[in-house]
Amino acid sequence: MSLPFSTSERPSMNVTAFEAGSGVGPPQEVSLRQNPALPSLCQTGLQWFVSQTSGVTAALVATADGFEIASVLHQSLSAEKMAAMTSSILALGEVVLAEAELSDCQNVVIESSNGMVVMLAIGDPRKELLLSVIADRNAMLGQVLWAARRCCEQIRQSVAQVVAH
Amino acid sequence: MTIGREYKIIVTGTMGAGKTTAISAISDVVVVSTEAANSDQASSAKASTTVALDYGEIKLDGGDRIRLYGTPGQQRFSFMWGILAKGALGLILLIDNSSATPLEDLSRFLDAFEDLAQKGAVVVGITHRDVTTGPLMAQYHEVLSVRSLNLPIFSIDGRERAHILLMVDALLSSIEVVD
Repeated sequence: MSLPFSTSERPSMNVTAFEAGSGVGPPQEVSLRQNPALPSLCQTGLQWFVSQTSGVTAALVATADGFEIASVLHQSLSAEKMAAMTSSILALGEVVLAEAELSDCQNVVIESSNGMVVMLAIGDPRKELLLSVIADRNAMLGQVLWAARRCCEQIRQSVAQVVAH
Repeated sequence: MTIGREYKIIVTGTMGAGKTTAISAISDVVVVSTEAANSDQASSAKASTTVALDYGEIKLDGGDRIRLYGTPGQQRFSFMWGILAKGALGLILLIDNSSATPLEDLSRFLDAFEDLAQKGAVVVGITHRDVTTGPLMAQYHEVLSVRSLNLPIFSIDGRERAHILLMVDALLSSIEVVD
């Protein structure tokens, strides 16, 4: 399905960001994080995704700079830390791709003997949102990826709604 | 002559202190950086922020190289600090004088990198002293002396290649003295 935005509307990464140390940045668009409607919309998407996907035990939506927006986590997990890690790992994915003369990191999969963590770029127009998924040994990677991408799609639609209003 | 020795140096410090700027100011190679749009304008008005690491290199005479690793500044990324500091010879610590709590920031980072600080393998750079008044240099020195640390502190401009190279020089000299 087509989104109400074209990806070309996304502001390009500002190379002069290296001068950020001067304390003078370009004028900022209001970040999605400031939008009060977003967390509950993401939460709904996450709950559906976690409950419907075999083996998925936790999921979280974070901003590209590592803040939690919404999460379905077991109590022992720190949403703050998980959000920051998701941002770091996907950023590393992007620079590894650049080194390999590739681009547009979509997800990073970390598999282990007793489960997996999948981190995905949600693909919202301004690339502000990330999804992190934790699954146990009952999960199948293909299924998790498929369901996670559907969850991303749903969140993209929610974002389009809240941005339009 | 030994050929191709490599030194690993970490650049850390508060968000907006100028770590990424400093590394790009002195690197002899294209800097690898991991920037994301900064949604925390309350903490710093900059457009983007480092979320994993910056990487740069300085080529020294005789084939030696300094590998520079910049960390994210925010506490929520502190898990990256330990990963990046592994095997590091020394630390360049940049503190933003214009933050709300620069002296506490200095303390916090000295705690986080206590091993290197105790070894004397840390140099401190205070940035943005031209932007706000902030604490006196003497007050920064006081934070160190309370901890019985004797580390060089510089008042610097993170954009000035010469300033950052001076800190690198000072750090390498400290490390040699320690060795």
